[in-house]
Amino acid sequence: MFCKYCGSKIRPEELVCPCCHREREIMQASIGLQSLLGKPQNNLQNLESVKATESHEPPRNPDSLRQDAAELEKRRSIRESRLPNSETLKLKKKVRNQAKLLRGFMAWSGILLIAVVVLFRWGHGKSEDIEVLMDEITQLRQATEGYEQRLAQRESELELLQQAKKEDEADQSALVETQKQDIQKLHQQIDTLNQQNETLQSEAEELRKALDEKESSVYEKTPETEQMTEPQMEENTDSGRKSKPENGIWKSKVGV
Amino acid sequence: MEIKGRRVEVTGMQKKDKTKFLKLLGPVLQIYSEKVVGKGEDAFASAVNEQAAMIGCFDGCGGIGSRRYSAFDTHTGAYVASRVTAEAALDWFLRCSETGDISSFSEYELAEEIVTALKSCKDMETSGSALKGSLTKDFPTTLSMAVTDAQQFLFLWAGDSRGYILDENGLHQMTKDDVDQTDAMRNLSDDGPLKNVVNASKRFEIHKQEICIRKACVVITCTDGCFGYLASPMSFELLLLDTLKAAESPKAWEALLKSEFAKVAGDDFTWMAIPIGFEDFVQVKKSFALRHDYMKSMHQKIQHREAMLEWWESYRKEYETF
Repeated sequence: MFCKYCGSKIRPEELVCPCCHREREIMQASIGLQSLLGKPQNNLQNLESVKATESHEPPRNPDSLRQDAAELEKRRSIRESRLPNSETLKLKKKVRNQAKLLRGFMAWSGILLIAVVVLFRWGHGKSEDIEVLMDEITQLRQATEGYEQRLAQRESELELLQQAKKEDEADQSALVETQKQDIQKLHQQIDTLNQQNETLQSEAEELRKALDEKESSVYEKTPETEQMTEPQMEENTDSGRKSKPENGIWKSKVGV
Repeated sequence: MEIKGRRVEVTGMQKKDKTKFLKLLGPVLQIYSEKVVGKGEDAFASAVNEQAAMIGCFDGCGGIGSRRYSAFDTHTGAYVASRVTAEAALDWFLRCSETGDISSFSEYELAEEIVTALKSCKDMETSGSALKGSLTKDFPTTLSMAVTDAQQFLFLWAGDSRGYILDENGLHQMTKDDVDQTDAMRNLSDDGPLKNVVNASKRFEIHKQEICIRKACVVITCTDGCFGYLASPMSFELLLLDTLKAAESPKAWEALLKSEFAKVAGDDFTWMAIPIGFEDFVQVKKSFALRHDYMKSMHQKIQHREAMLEWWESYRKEYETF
């Protein structure tokens, strides 16, 4: 925000410019209805006249500035009090609505009046026409009654359908519940089977271990087991040289 | 009554901080001049409160509103219409700004307010007698208003009074004249009849354009007396920038512009503006210094009308951005 007269920065709460000591511009201006009635309410003109008078005045002292501020505040409060508040706006709206309703009512009553006048003026004495009209009215009444009956039937059908739908929904929810229970049971069965499987596997391992132990004890006792281990040792040596078996017995060339 | 409207979003809006609004707002600048003193058919209205600011220019249509009314001191319908519309617009703004955000400001309510005010004028006249008869419309006037809360800008108009935004990229016309010719350059030479104006007897439209801008700019509304007597829309921008450069204060800018308009205008003229987003007037001048230099150099290069039209074709892209 800046001053209109010197262009320097001012704060929104400052009513007088701290640089040039001029009053802040008027916040509301118009050439409005007052100028139409011959009273000079043109705030632009007022501003210019203020400027013209102020240019000849000596610099203001703090007291006069305070007075100006108070005056401006007073003006502002007067202006604000002139503005409509929310309650008056509501009231205005209400009155407008009521006026609309009244207008509508008046319009309809006018139309009815015209219809009555027309009937009395041009329809008087024409009993045949009236009878025809009465017949039409009775037909229309019958038709509306028929429609009402159909509507009632449709409504009852709709209720029945809604009930059936509710029952279906209840059945479906029950079905879902039972299915959930079945699934839980199956899960439990799977768990027990898994446990059994684990125990069986552990037993099988134990049995395998026992078998291995038995087999190793058997190898230690037989000479074939010694002959069988020798070529394996030789194969694992770095030289990779192999000696031919003599008389069916494997012998190492190194260190024998 | 029909009111057309459209909404344009330029940048994403952040949550509005109303305490900052007054800090961002510059002073309201207003120029008003009558060709014949006391008989000017232009009017203006401006208001600033903690929620929003409004400026508006109204140009009573002298031709079709030349009927004189005894109830209004034998003033013309155009004279009465612009003033009554200004007052109605001010009332509308004060009422709307008290109740809500400017995006909820209703052009329907504005039209209703204006029509009610103008019809009451018409009713006043029925008790008296018209001194000078004229065909066409009762109380015709153009309308150009801008309402802003420093982030959102609402432009409302009817007729050929205009609303602009002047930013570092140049001048942007925010309104669209209610004439057959929509080219702003050709409008200056082909003075066609107005298709739509505010009045008390026939249907009219109030157009609305809403835009969100989050950068420093100057919002302007003016009547055709300001731009209608210049060679081109570029001349209008250059005039604004030239006077801004020469001015030492906002008040001096007003005075310089007024004297420049007075040199060329053959009609009443009214111009209103609010700088938004500037800390002080020095910042306003700095922001537009580069643009002024560019416009000045371009203008000096233009020697004949063909060159001016060529420049217009490139200039109008930015001028008609919104």
